[in-house]
Amino acid sequence: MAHDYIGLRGENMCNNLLTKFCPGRPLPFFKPIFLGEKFQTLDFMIELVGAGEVTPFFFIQVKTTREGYTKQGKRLKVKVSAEAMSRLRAYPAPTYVVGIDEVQEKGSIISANAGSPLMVSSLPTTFELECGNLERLWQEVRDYWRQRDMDLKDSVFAA
Amino acid sequence: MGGMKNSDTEYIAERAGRLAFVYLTRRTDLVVSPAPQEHRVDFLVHISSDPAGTEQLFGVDAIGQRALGKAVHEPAGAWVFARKSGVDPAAGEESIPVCLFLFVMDGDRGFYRWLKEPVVEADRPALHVHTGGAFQELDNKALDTIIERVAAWYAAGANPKVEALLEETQRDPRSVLLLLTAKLEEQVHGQLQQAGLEQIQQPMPLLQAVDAGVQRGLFPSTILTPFRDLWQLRNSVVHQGSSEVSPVDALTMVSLGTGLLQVLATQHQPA
Repeated sequence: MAHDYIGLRGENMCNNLLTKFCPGRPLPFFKPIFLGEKFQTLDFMIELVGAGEVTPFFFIQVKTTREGYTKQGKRLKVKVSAEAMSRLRAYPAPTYVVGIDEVQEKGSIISANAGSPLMVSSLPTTFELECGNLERLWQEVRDYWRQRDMDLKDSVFAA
Repeated sequence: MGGMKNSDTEYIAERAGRLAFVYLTRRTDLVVSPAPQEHRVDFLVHISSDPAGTEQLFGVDAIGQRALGKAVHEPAGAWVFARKSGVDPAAGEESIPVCLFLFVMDGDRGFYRWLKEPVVEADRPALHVHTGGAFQELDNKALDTIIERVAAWYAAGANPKVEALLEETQRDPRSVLLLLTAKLEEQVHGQLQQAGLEQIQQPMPLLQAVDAGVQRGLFPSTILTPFRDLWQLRNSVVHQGSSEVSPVDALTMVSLGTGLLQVLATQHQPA
């Protein structure tokens, strides 16, 4: 192999899946912002597009594999360590893991906040990154931020 | 945050670039890099599987549109899109093959056509410029075909550096001629001095230096005639002020100059 692009291919595929144009919407649901190599745990901060005056956001880590799926349960063979899961859950914002099947160029998503904080040894493909789940994800993150009053009203730096 | 201000055009352009990268890197023998600014394409693609290890490079420009729209699928399989090209016209100035990728966001379907098509005519490589035309569906098989076409073009002896010189010759024949002759002078005098046949402080006139090198077995005698032909051409352009150079003269100039440089660079020291 001349060049191993697995990581870059995964990031580009993830970006493209999240910015898919879906029927009935003039723009994609999300605007991904790549966080760069220096972020150990997080790969993208994702802004919601068209959510109103404020811009809700969430974080994702991307795991890419060429290994395919488990025989039982057809789960994508990607691993996330318990330590990484703990770091993901430490962010006070919605945080997710996206698994990318590099060969089939498909992706699925799971929440890092809900469920077990233990190591993930494979990823369910229940929530594939297609238009229906993109819309659900958009609504989930929008509702999460709506339920919180995030205004900093009494800053010591107030002008 | 700027998330609300993006237009669909920006998203489409970005997605088209990323889709091009994903499509190209399906082949593991391609090294895909964003093109430096002096190139007027989006990506430079290096074919690394060439067994001879020669530099095989082509350019890819990537554009996108939201839907198929009024695209017509012709019976022979080609697609005709009702759109302005959206391509930087300067992409056609590249001296390497250039392919245009078009991605339709609905379904992320890819299509391609050549902007600079590599062809081999009578065993000689050439580049055909296309300003418009139908697209073909872009899939793994099509990508293989693109690579085969580029590889065949290089195998037929294409030399993009000569192509670039030829294009520059059309714009500024004097500077190219001066560049070529300066490099030839440097080679000839350098080799004579290295062989102890000439002193750095007292260089001979070039044609005399070439003669001396041939007589001492430093250069093959076959270079004498092309050297004299090139110098005659040089004199007509430089001294007689010929401002326009015919395509034939330009080709002759670059062909003679680069050929001579190659011969000089590959000759061995006399026994």
